[in-house]
Amino acid sequence: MRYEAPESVEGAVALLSAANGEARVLAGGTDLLVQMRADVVDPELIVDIKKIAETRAVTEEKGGWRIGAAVTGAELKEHARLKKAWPGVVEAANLIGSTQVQGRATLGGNLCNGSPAADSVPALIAAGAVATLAGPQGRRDLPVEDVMLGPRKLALKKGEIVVSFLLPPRPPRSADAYLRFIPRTEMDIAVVGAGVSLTLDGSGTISAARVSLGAVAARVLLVSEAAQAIVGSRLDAAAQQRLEAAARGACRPIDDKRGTIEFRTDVAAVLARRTALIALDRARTS
Amino acid sequence: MAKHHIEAVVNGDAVEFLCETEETLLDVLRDTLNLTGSKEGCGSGDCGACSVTLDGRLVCSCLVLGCEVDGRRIETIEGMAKGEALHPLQQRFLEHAALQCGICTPGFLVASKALLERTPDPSEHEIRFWLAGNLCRCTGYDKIVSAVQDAAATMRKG
Amino acid sequence: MGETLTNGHTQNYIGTRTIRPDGVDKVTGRARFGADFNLPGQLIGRVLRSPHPHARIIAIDT
Repeated sequence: MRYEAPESVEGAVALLSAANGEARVLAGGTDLLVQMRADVVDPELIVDIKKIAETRAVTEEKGGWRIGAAVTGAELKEHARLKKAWPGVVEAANLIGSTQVQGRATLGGNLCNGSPAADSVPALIAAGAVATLAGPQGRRDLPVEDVMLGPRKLALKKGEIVVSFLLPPRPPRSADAYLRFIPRTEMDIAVVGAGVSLTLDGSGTISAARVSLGAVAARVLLVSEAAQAIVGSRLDAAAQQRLEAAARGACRPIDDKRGTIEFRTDVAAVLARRTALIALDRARTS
Repeated sequence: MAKHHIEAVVNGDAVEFLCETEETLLDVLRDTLNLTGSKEGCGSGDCGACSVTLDGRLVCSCLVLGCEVDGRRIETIEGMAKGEALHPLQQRFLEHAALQCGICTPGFLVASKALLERTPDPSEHEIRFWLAGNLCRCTGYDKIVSAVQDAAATMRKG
Repeated sequence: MGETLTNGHTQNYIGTRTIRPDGVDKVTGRARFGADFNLPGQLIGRVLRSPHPHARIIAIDT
């Protein structure tokens, strides 16, 4: 098994493009090493991207935030200004696994592991995050909701890596939040995940919103009907009910050991509502 | 592929070792460096028995490859006591009977130390959530939490 | 140290909090568990689990 740690994006892309056998990108390793250990994957080449400065940086860009694909959850939590601007994204990344896992796990890895139950993905989608990919044909941008196509299926072409994520500028009175349901208090894979980002106008009415649900379909969903249900409202009881109905309607989950279709659908509705309320509260006090 | 030649600092000492790509930091610590204090409980990052700090960051050493730590600073349970002088956490764990079989204990101590370095006065809630990635089959956790609280108080007194 | 019982006898250990004798080794990581031994020429056993969750054993090839 080869291990390479290129110091440039071009270097990583070249290695991955030229790879004949199974090649894997290594960021935090909190999924890859577990899968290698379980003999789910046996890469011939591991490309560690952590020496590429771009993947490790958190910088302000055009009023928004650019987060490198290999920045860890723990580092995001320690970034005071990012946390203030995007508390939902940061809290989502810090629900992944444990303190130890958060010390290594990254947004890029969480997305590219291709699990529809990934915790940070609904928060990124709700935030309107755009992933910057780099490949043999150069760079391109993809909204995060278009990166994961299904379980373990990504829109990345051979040789492509996710370099960073761009979070858009935050209008005043905006906030986001993320909630998930798990059977215990920590460590579990999300049974349902809900990310909501919203903006209030001067009168406290929701002027813009994005709602994303995880673990209730083959990919993480951007539920525009759920956003439409609450835009123009102050999240009064009627708007909450419309939100729940829209969340319910968007769910296409499976029965599995973590939850039944019925359970997930019910919980998705509840979480969408609770997450929206938290985001609203944060936006009011922001 | 030829083995990787790695230089790192472990518990303040410069070390040098060879490792295969697939060897984890835990494998290297236990099998190559003979630092068996970090334990393998699950091999999948769920139990925390292999906890170490990497450049001051609490991680599971079973989720880090040996070849990733070139030039890095690692702290393990073996570095916690200063000679025969126990760290306050170690002392309080003993006094509070926060261990029985002891296999989770190194992981809990390393994790607790990382917590107290960041948060010298953690609430019980903060302690429990920080330590959620460390599993114990023997004690029921309560005595561990008490020991951490007591050690935190001791360390705050300086 | 210890308790004085109603019959007047004193107990030196019952009623005290003692540090477990293997405690220091355990909290320092010095204690060696079975898996911590690495001896030359040692054999390593692994558990071979059945790939079949529910099956009748017809024969075991040793």
